[in-house]
Amino acid sequence: MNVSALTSSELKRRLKKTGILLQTGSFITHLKTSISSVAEGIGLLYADYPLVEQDGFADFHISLVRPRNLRRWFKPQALFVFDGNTIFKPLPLDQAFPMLEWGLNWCVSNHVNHCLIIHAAVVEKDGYAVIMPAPPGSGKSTLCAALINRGWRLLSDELALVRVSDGKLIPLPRPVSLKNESIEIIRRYEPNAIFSRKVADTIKGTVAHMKAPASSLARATEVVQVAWIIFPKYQAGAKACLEALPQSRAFMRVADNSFNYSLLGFNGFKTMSSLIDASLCYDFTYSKLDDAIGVFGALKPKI
Amino acid sequence: MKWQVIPNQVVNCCLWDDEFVFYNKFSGDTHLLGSMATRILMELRQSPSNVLSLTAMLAPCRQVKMVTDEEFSFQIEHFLNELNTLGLIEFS
Repeated sequence: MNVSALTSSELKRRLKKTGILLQTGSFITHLKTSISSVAEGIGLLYADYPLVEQDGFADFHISLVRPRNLRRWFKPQALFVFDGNTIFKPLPLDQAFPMLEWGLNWCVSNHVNHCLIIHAAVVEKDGYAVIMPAPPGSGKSTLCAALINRGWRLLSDELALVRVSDGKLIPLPRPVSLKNESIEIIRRYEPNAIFSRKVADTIKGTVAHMKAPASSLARATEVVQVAWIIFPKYQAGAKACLEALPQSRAFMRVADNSFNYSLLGFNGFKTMSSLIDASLCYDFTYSKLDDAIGVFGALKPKI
Repeated sequence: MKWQVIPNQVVNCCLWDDEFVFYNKFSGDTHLLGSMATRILMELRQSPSNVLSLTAMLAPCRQVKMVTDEEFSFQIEHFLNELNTLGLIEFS
């Protein structure tokens, strides 16, 4: 059964009373909250995600609650609770849904150690995946959002999960996080895309989340082989330009963008070496999304 | 005085083009070695060697032709000390 099988009021009731077991990729999250904006966000952006039957196993147990402090009367807040513990400082109540998204990323990046985890977007076409590691502000999520609206499959816009045992990429398709100007750019680029409402004044500026394509969700358990590692960089007025990057340099840069490379020790090194060996590595600058889509469409995998 | 590669350490490495990425299993750190350090390591992998022999063997790889033999030898010695600090080579 998918989330969309529940009416809005039934979803709110379940989230408040027992919580729901939500399947995202290969992970199951037990989520409980009485915050209505979170229920609305789940209903809108997670409509096509499977619900697991109650009392089943969950990888992560989280809840979003309203702290019972004096501030709740004049500046209400939301608090992210993981396994009964508060992890982060509370945020304004208005930011509860983005907080859920950031918290879900934190759950995976801090607990999933059978994978090398890289801060990167991952998309796939014809059986070959592109990993796009990049620091915030590089245009990674904007490019990812454009690609998945033009036929590429979304694996993740935030976390590349490279399985240590065989180097395959595990999908984790969740809503794509966009911020500031990128929100309107993608709205114009794909008018049919579904967005959560904008939330202003977060630590990242104004943020909104775009619903992942149903076709990507339908293949959420299908692992894939990496073919390219591309470091994207948006540069106003720049021509779309792909520049080959030595594999040794790519190794160090991907390691810098990894959450658990050091934690995995020699296994991290071996996994990263295999990943780099299997990939063609590039720096990529762009300004126009259509040009970028054209360059990505012409990529040829290593023979 | 000859230098040699520490055998177990050079297992944990990858050579791409003329650069070397190496994982130090004792410290858990990963290092990127440039082309000259990589060439020295490759020579020592063949057989233990001293500064003088390495200077002679690597002379054709000198990137700046203005560098004198003495300066180049000093650079080789510097690289050897660096590789030793990283735990990749030792005295034979």
